[in-house]
Amino acid sequence: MNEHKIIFAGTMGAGKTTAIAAVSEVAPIVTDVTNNDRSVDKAMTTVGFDHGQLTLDNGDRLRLFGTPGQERFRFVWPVISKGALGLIILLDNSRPEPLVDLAVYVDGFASELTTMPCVVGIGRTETHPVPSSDEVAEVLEQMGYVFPVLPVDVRQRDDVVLLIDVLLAQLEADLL
Amino acid sequence: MLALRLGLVGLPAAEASLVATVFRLHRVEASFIWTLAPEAPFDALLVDYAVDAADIARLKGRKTHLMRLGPIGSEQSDMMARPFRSDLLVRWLNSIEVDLLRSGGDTSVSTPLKSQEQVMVSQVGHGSGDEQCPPLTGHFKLRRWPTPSLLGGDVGRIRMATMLSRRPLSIKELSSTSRLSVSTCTAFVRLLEAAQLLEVRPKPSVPTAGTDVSPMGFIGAQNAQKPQAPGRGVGAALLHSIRQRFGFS
Repeated sequence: MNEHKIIFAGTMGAGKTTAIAAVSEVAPIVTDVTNNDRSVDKAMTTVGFDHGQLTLDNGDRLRLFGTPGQERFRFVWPVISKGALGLIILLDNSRPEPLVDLAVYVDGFASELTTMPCVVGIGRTETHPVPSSDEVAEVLEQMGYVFPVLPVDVRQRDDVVLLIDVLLAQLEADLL
Repeated sequence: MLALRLGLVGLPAAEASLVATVFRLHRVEASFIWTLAPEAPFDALLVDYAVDAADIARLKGRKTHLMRLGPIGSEQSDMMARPFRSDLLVRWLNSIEVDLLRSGGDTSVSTPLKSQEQVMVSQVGHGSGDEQCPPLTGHFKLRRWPTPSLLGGDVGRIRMATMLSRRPLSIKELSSTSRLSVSTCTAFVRLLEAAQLLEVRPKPSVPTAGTDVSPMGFIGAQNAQKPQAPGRGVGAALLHSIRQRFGFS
């Protein structure tokens, strides 16, 4: 039995835990504690890494890991993402500077992103349409990256599945 | 059903075909009410900048909006530079739409003259649009993720764009990998070309990362062209298994 993993990264409140819960076959193991950061309106926050999983038909396991969103846990990111199939960066458009958040995560995973597929999901676009997907794509282009950028509602399973579908499409292109 | 009419005057066949492809792809959007008209009356005209004013005057109605297509660097309020960008074309059409709908459009032009588009539209029609265009050759690499309006929320287009973002692909490779028809892939690649989102690359010898080599891409430039990291253990069987598990193919 082999194990494979997909990493969900993003700021606190971006929806990593929710996204994993939307697709995991088991209730995700959640490492949340009471959030004492009053700048973020969130009761709980992840301090380890959330974990969900799916069992494939050949017995292999696909594990879904959510990284802790706070930047002080940045040292964990390269450790947890080693050997991962791909990275999903979730942005929260309701935050003051989502484009700065994007740069933090792209820089934080820069070494892995030389080869690892990545997709950027933008949340809360229905209430916070700015920055647009095009503006996010423009920033990525300026940083030298061309990643898929999709508006998502991580409470909707289909949206999360689309993010994973897009990661898989990148891996399929690599097979050529 | 309300429809506004765009005529094409003096455009090369390939360019007219691109416009037809843009229209065909946007037709799935309920809000897109434009059609390509082979003959007057026209609500708007897209005209090659070299076309004689007298010829335009014969086709143009009192309320017909006019946009010229000019050479590179010729952008003005009434001129788009070539190669035309589909997003700018659609933006212009959207911008004049309100005015046209409010004023009731223009049905006063009764000239029997037809725009050159008549032949192209009838030949492109509902087909792939490839019949009159030379086949696309080369390997195409996305240099920037397309706008949501260009993707139209279409899973197939998202998949094609995703694969083109990852590495340079030929039409044939894109078709086999995405499991979409060659005509569908060709039409979409033409659309991306029109939006200036593609680069034509030589076939890579090793898989490339999602990074793009550009003067601005300092991180990408440093890390581009590195071989895929070993040990990820990804094969077609694994990807198929994951797709099955999520319930999509």
